[in-house]
Amino acid sequence: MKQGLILTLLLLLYIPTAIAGEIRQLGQDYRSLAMGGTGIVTANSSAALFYNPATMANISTWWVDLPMIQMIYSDDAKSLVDQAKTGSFSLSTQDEQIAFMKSFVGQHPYIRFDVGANWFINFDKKGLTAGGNYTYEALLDIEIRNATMPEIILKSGLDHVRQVGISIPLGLGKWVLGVTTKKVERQSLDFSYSMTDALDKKAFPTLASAGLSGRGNGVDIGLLYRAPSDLRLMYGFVYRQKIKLGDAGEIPEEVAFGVASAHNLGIARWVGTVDWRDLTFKNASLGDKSINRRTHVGTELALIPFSENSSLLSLRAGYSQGHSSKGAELSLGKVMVLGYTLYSEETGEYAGQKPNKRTVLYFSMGF
Amino acid sequence: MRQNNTTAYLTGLLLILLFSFSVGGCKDTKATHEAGKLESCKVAMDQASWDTAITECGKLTTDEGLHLTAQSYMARAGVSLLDILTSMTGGSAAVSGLFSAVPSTAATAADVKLALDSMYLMKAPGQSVYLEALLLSSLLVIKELQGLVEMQVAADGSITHCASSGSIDGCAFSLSLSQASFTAADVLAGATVIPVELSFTGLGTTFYDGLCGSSGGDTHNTKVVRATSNVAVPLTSPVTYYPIDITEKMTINKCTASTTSVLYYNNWAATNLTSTITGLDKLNFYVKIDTGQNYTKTFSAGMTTPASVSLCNADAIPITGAADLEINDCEILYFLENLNLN
Repeated sequence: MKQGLILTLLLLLYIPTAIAGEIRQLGQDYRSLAMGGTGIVTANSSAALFYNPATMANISTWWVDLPMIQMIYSDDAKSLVDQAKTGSFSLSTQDEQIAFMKSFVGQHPYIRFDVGANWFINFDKKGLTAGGNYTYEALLDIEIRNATMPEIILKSGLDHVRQVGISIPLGLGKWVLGVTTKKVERQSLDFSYSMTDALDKKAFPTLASAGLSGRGNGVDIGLLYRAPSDLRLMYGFVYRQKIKLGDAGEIPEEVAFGVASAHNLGIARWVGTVDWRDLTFKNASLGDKSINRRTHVGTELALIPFSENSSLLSLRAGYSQGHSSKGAELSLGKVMVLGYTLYSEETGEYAGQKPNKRTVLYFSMGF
Repeated sequence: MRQNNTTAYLTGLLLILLFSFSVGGCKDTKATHEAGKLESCKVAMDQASWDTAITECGKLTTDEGLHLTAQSYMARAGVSLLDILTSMTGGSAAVSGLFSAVPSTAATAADVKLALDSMYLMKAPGQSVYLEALLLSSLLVIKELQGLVEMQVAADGSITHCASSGSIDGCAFSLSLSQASFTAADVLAGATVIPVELSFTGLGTTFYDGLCGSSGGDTHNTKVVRATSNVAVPLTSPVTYYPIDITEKMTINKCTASTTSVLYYNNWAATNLTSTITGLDKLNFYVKIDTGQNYTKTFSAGMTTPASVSLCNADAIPITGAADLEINDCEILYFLENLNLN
């Protein structure tokens, strides 16, 4: 009787909250995230196809990653896992669900897990390179919001991305044209779970019970211009076609531009770059035209290089959407790569508004 | 070749400047679009930073923004809708569940009122808003009643106040004649009547200020009501009794409920709330107060026949009408004698 009244009252009070904030992009990798989310010009790793197919011209060798494993998690996810480890964490009862919402208000657990395989083959020094990715990307993104009437806003999904691309040097190689074709299959689940739902003993929706799925194809077209000067300046441009995924929504189109400078210094190699992403303002909320939110700055110091694409130790730093990032990589050629990145993702509506601190762990083996 | 290098270095210099500018200015200082402003509001609410939430949400003019502003004021006042609702158990204890949330200070009461103000600005409020407004306005009405009639929740959950018995005699502001028994010595010299005074100094302005946002008062000192004492006039057959002239010395406090007053909001919410939840009708205070009903006090001590004295009179201080937003002591005293929130 009491529960029924409360439920009725809360049903009257509940107003669902929309998910807002983060500009989500496929294939963000540990290297680019450490370098402030850059890669339109400087991508030279296995994630190059996700940033700009023309940057495959930066690849001067060949390799296969098998497997590639990457995990990204937020600090809040860590605290959630820590609590789960104590054995006291459970959401099986109504009281536990309410207590969870009350105690985790304002937190933002985020977990992303990527696994896949990559291959790249460079055919000549001008930059004729072909490559492909086969990637599964699983996402669990939870926000617990509104301390006055807490609710869980959850976004989860599973993307299966298959893409192949080629970079083609034009003329003497100052200009490079890149093309990627990709196929994306997505299962997604977006929902809000309120106090009302908890009192109603409504089960958490799952991908199986309430997920939406769809698939679509898209093409990325990229350009790279490598200025013939001592500064080794490079300019990059990419157009990413919108991918319609049916019930699972769409991946908006993107236009991006970048500029970079790269230098070989004997036992070290230095790269500095600035990217401007989402220049057509299709990836964020209506009216959001902040250039700061679309500006990404990054640098890399690679020590003891094995090739232009691999060094024993790489140190990286960056600045993205108002937040700094840093990372390191230990690489034994392409036989084994270990990557570690700390960065903050902007999950609000403008640069510097609501950072979500995240850690990236990367591991790949290959040949 | 030299020219090429110069161009390259100039470009490099430009790039460095661009880097510096980018790193130094890559942070926005405030939201420039509506979604950004809304997010600033929500972020503050997530962090339970109520002062900030009030500021940020207050910049929004959408219904959602106004609602979040109201929720922020509520939260700053310590009012938890969830706690209120979970303590409202229905049945006899429904309203008592509100008491723990009644604002205890002027500051918290002011925040609750500001929450109501914000909700009332919404262009298309939903049922949730009306429910919240009914609960919040009730909290403020109960706060005023606590001060006026010592309303409280007993250990068994029942609500008591100084007029719980159905009479205001137990209240500090109860009416009484200047004397309750009479003798022949009370007869006015040179006349054949016993003069008595019935004084009422009003319920005060604080109560009305809280409910209506303003207050006033009317005074009348000359109206006389005749009654009959139990003091027999000597040597009369059949026996007759000295009359009593009760001179009313009245100050009647009053108010007009403005469109931004607690009582007005209470009526606005109750009128628009379509819920049939049992117990919520008890919170429709405005309808229970602005009845146009007069308060009448009957005196019998020392009288041959009981004398009824109405507090308001057409030839003195008139009663206000029903549902006219005009409230005065006569309606309030009637309301108090019939007040039952259990």
